[in-house]
Amino acid sequence: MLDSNSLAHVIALAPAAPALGAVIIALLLAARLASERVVATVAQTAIGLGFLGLLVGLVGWAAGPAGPLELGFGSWYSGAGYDFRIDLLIDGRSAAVSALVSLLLAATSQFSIAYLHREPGFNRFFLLMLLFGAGMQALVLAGNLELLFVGWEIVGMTSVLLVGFFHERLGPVKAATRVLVTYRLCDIGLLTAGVSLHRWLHTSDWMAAEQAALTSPWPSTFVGLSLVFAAMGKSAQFPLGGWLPRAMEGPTASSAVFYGSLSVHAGVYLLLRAAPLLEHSLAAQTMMIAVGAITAVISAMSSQASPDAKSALSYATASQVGLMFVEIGFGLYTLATIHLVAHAVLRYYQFLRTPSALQDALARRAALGRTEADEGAVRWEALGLRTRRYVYRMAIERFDVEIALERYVVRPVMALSRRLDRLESQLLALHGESERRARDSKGGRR
Amino acid sequence: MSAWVQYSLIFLWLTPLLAAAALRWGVRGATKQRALALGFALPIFLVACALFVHEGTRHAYKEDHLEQGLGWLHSHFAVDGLNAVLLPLTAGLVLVALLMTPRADMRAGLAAKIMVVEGALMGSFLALDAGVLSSFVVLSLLPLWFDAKHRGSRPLQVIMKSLVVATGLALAVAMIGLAFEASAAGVQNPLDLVELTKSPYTPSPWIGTLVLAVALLRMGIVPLHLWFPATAQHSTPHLALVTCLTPLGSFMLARLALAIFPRVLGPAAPLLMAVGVFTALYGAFLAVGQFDLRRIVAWFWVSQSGLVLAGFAGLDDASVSGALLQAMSTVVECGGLMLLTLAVEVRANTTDLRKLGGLAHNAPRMATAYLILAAAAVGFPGTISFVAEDLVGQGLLREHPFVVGLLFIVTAVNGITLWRAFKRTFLGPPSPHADDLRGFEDLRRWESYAIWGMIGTLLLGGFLPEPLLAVRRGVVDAIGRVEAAASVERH
Repeated sequence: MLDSNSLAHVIALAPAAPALGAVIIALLLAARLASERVVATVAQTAIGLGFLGLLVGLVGWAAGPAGPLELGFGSWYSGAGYDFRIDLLIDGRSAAVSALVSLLLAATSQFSIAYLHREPGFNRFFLLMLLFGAGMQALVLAGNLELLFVGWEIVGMTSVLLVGFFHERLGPVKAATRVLVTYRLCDIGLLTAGVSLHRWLHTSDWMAAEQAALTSPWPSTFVGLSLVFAAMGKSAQFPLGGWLPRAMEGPTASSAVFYGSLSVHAGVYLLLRAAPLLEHSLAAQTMMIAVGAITAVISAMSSQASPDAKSALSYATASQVGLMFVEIGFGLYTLATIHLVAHAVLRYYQFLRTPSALQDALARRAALGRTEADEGAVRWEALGLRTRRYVYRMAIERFDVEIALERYVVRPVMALSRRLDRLESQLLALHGESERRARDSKGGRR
Repeated sequence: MSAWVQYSLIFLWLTPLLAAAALRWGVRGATKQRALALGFALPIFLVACALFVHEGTRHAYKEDHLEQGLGWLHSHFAVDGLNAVLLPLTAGLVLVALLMTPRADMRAGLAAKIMVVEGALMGSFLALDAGVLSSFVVLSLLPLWFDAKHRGSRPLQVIMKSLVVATGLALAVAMIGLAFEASAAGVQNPLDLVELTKSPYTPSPWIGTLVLAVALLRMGIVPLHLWFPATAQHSTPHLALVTCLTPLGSFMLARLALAIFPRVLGPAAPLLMAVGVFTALYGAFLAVGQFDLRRIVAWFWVSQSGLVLAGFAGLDDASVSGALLQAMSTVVECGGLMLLTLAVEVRANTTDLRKLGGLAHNAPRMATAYLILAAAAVGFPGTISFVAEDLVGQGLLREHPFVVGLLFIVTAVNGITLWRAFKRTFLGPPSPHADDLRGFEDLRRWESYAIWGMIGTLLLGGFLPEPLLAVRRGVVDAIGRVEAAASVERH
C-alpha cells in the first residue's frame, strides 16, 4: 500500500516523465546527437515510464479510501498573499482521461516511429509529442485552474507547431496561424475565469471551489461564460471551429492524437472539471447547450459535404464534441465523460486509418454491396433541387461563419491597426519631412 | 560592505566611460575597436554577475532598499535589491550587442558610443544621489542624439533633440527645486536619496511630476512614446538597442518617483494606471498590423511598458513585484528579438515581412531561438514573463479587475503579433518579392551562445523565480509603505 507521499511522486511521473524526455531530446538536438533510434528510445522510455507511474498510482489510489485525492507538491512561487500551488487532483474523471492520454501517447509513439521514418522532422515530432503529453497530463491532473492553464498553454503551443509541421508549405503555416489566433483569443476566457475565481472565491483550487461554489447570479454567470468561451475555442465549437479542419495539415499521427482524440476534448474536460461552478449559472448552461447544438448540426452537415476524408472526420469530431457540450449543459456529466473517452478512442482509430480511407470504403462496399452513404444519398435525393443546392452550399461554406468572422472581427482590427499606424506617421511628419522623403534621401545617399 | 564591492561600484560605471574614451581617441579600425570593446565589456559583465551573486546570496536587501555606499564627489553609489539584477542584465545586453554587431557596422565610433551608454546606465542604476542619477540619465541619451545627427532622417533628429532637451531641462529644474527645498528643510545633503528618505521632508508634487514625466518618457509611454519607434527604425540599430531597450524608465519610477515622491504617486496612481493600460492596448494594436520586424519589436516594447506601468500603479505588493520582474524580462526578450531581427537584416538586407519567408530552412537555430523568445515574451509557462504577468494580474484583480481583463486582451494580441512575425519571417515558402535567400546564413557560434544565454536566463528565472522575487522584496516593501501612505491620504 502506497502512502500519499509516494502516491504523489508516482503519479507525478505521468506529466514529469514526458517533460523530461522532451528536455533530453532538446539537449540531444542541441548537441547534434539525435539520431532516429536514440530519439525513439528516449520517447518510448519517457512515455512508458509515465504510463507505468500513472498505472501504479491509480491502482494505489483505487485500493485506498474512496473519493477524490489531492496531492500537493508545494508552491512554484508566491507573492503578497498569492501562492501558485502545484497540486494534482485524482478522481474518477481525471483517472479515466489521464489513463486514456497515456495509452494514446504510447500507441502514437509506436505508430509514428514507422510512419515518420526518414521524415526530416522526425526528431521535432517526438519532441513536440512529448511536450504535448506533458501538457495534457498537467491539464487533466491539475488540482487548480493555474496548473490547468499551464497544461492548456503547452497543449496549445505544441498543437500549433504540429499543424505547421510541414513548414515549407504555405497551407500548413496558414492553418497553424488560424489555430494560434483562436487559441490565444480563447485563452482570455480561461485567464478571466481564473482571476474571477480568485476575486470571488479567493481560490482556484477545484476541490475548494466545489465546496464554496459561487451561488450569487452575477459572479457565477461571469465565471461560467468565461469558461465556456475558453472551451469553445479549444474544442472547435461554433463560431470558433474553423481551425479544426485546417489543423489536418499536420502529420496523420498528430491529427489522430491531438485534434481527433485529445486536444479537441480539452475544452470538454475543462467544462466537466468546472461543472460544480457551472451548475449555478443558467446563462452558461444555456450557452453550452445552444453552442453545442448549433455546432452539432452545422458540423454534421459540413462533414457530409466535405470532399476529403480528413476534413469530413474533423467536422464529424466537432459535431460529436458539440453533443458533449449539450450533455454537460443538461448536467449529464457521467454520460459526457463516457462519451468523451469512447469518442476519443474511435476518432483516434479513424484518423490513423484515413490514409487508407478510400481502400477501406471500397472494401466495405465490396463486402456489403452497399454502404450507409448510399442510403443517405437516397434520402438526400428525396429533397427538392433548390433546397439541396442551398443546403449543400451552406454546408460546404460552413454557413458563412468564417466570412462573418473575417468581415466583423479580423478586418476591423487590422483596419484599426493601420489607421493608428497612419496617425503615427503623421505625428512623425510633424517633426520634419515625411517618412517617405526621409527614406528616399537615405536611399539616395546609398 | 567589503572593499571589492566598493571598488566594483566605481569600476562598473567608470570603466565603460574610460573604454569609450580609449576607443574614440586611441584605437583605429573596426576590428581593433570591437576587440577592445569586448575586452572591456566582458570583465564588466563578470564583475556585475559577481556583485549580483555576492550580494544576492547575503540577502542584504531584506533590511532596507537603500544602503550606504562609497562617498565620492559627495555622492553615493550602492548595490541593492532594485539594481542588483539590472547590473548583469545591462552588462550582458551590451556584451551581446557588441558580439552581434557586424564588423562593417562598427564605424563612426559605434563601439565608443555603446560603451558610453553602458557607463551611463550603470551609473544611473548605482547612484544614490538624485543629481548624479539625473546626469547619468541625460548622458545615456547623448550618444543616440549624436548618432541621429549623422542619419538622414530629419524627424529623428528633431525628436532626439527634443528628447534630450526635455529630459535635461525637466531633470535640471527638478533637481534645482529639490536642492533648494531640501536645504530649506534642513537636509544636509539635499540630493542624497538616503538622507531624503530618512528625513521627514517631502518634496513638492511638481518636482515629483517632472521626474515622473521623464521616467514615463524613458519607458516610451503614450503619448511620450514618439521617439521610441522612430529610434528603433531610423537610428544605428545596435546603439538604439542598448539605449532604448533598458529598464531605466521603470527603474527611475521605482527609485525616484515611487520612493521619494509619494505625494505625487497617491493621487496620480489611477491616472497612471489608465495611461498604462491605454499604452499597452495602443502598442499591441499597432504592432499587430506592422510589416517591419524592427517596428514590431518597438511597438511590442511600448505595449509591455504599459503593462509595467499598470503594475506599478496598482501599488499592490504582488503587482509591483510582477512589474519589476516584467521590466527585467522584457529587456531580455525584446533585446533578444531585436538582435535576431538585426541578424536577419544583415543577412537578408531587409526587415520587411513582405520580402522574407522560409528562413527556417536555412537557419533553423535562428528560427528556434526567435520562437522561444517570442513565446517567452508573451508569457509562456516556464518563463519569467509568465510569473511576472501572473503576479501583475493577481495584484491588480482585487481593486481593478477590469484592468486585468484589458491586459489579458493585450497579451493575446501580442501573442498573435509575434507569431505572425515569426511565421512570415521563418516559415512557408520565401516571399515572391524576396531577394535570393538561398545563401541565408544561420546564427554563428558566438551569436548562438549569446542568444541561448538570454534564453537560458529567461527559462532559469521562469522555473526558479523565487530568488529573483526575494532580491526585490525590500523594494516592494518600500513601495508598500507608499501604498499605505497613499491610502491614508485618500481617506
